[in-house]
Amino acid sequence: MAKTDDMIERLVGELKPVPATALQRLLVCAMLPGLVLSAAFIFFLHGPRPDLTAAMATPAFWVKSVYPLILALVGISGLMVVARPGGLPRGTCIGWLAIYLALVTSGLWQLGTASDARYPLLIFGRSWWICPIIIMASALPVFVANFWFLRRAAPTHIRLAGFVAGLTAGAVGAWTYSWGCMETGLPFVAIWYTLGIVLCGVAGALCARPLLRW
Amino acid sequence: MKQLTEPELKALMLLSLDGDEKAYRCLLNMLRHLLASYYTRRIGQRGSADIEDLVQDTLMALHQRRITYDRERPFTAWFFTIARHKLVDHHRRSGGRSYLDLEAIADVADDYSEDAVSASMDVNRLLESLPAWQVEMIRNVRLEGRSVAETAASSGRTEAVVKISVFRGIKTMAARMRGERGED
Repeated sequence: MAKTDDMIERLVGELKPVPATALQRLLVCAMLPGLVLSAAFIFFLHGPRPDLTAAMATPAFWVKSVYPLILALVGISGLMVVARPGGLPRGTCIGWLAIYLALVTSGLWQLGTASDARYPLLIFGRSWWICPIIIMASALPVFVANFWFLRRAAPTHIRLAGFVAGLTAGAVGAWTYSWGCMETGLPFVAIWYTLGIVLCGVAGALCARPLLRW
Repeated sequence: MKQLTEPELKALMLLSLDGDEKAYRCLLNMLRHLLASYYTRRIGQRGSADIEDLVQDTLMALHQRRITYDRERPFTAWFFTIARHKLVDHHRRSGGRSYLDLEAIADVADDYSEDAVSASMDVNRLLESLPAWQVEMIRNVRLEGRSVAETAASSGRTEAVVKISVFRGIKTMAARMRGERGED
């Protein structure tokens, strides 16, 4: 019992005030460098799309960019939930599904208005096989940031926390990639972007046991 | 030792988060005893060395992860989720035989689960709004499980009066609760 007394004294000695928004601040401190690195990867290593100014006038560009951005924002709110003991982010999962369904609907609408000859371009584009890989690469810094954050938090549903962290990182990576990617098809985004994002989520769930145990 | 309740523990935690060392020492000492009985009930006396380790581990986790406590929510719910997490981890480490116990842990009615704590606070708050004699009857009949006849005898009223008072009291509480929900 004496050991516990000593430990309590030591912990009391180490006590520092914790502001009410400390957890939010920690997440911001983690994600900002991750986001900057991810953006640097796309803008300097991959390069922004050459026709960026022209593309910014098209709705397809904005749908492609806003889709992962909203996924990421919903994911960040989910991260705040899984970071606390017992946190189950039901709203986050429902939100993600709703966003995905909205994208699928607009993708189907785009296919409906296009001629059959454009289908391969809208679905596979020119970069379907590399797109998920680039998304995972540009998600990596954010992935590390999210795990750095969760290791300082107290997730109790560990696999789920890893999945949320990974998927959110994937969404941020896809968002930065949307500034470099030339594709115009919404079905392309619904399939290949989502594949890259979900693979990040799966990687997160797989890394969770070794990295997030406490 | 006096068992502190949720509001008192939460007040100590909030002071600790603001850096009050005295409150923190008091909180850790209170929690240490709560944890010892919590783990003893679930592991049994045979693992007393494990229990001290678990207590220290949990207090350490509280210290290192206190950033994850949401000041708007009950403290005991947060804290005992951590304690349960440490217990599950302990069973996982100590090997396969304990996987059966994990099922049992989930079933243990937890005095400190968030729902239980806030439900009993709700009931007590609602009861406060009723006249004392009616509260007494509701407590006897509905919360403590005594018979209507006993309650009638001890309060000097007839059984019909007891039944009607309990019924009306609960109706009043239900109406208040609906009203409170409606305001949100």
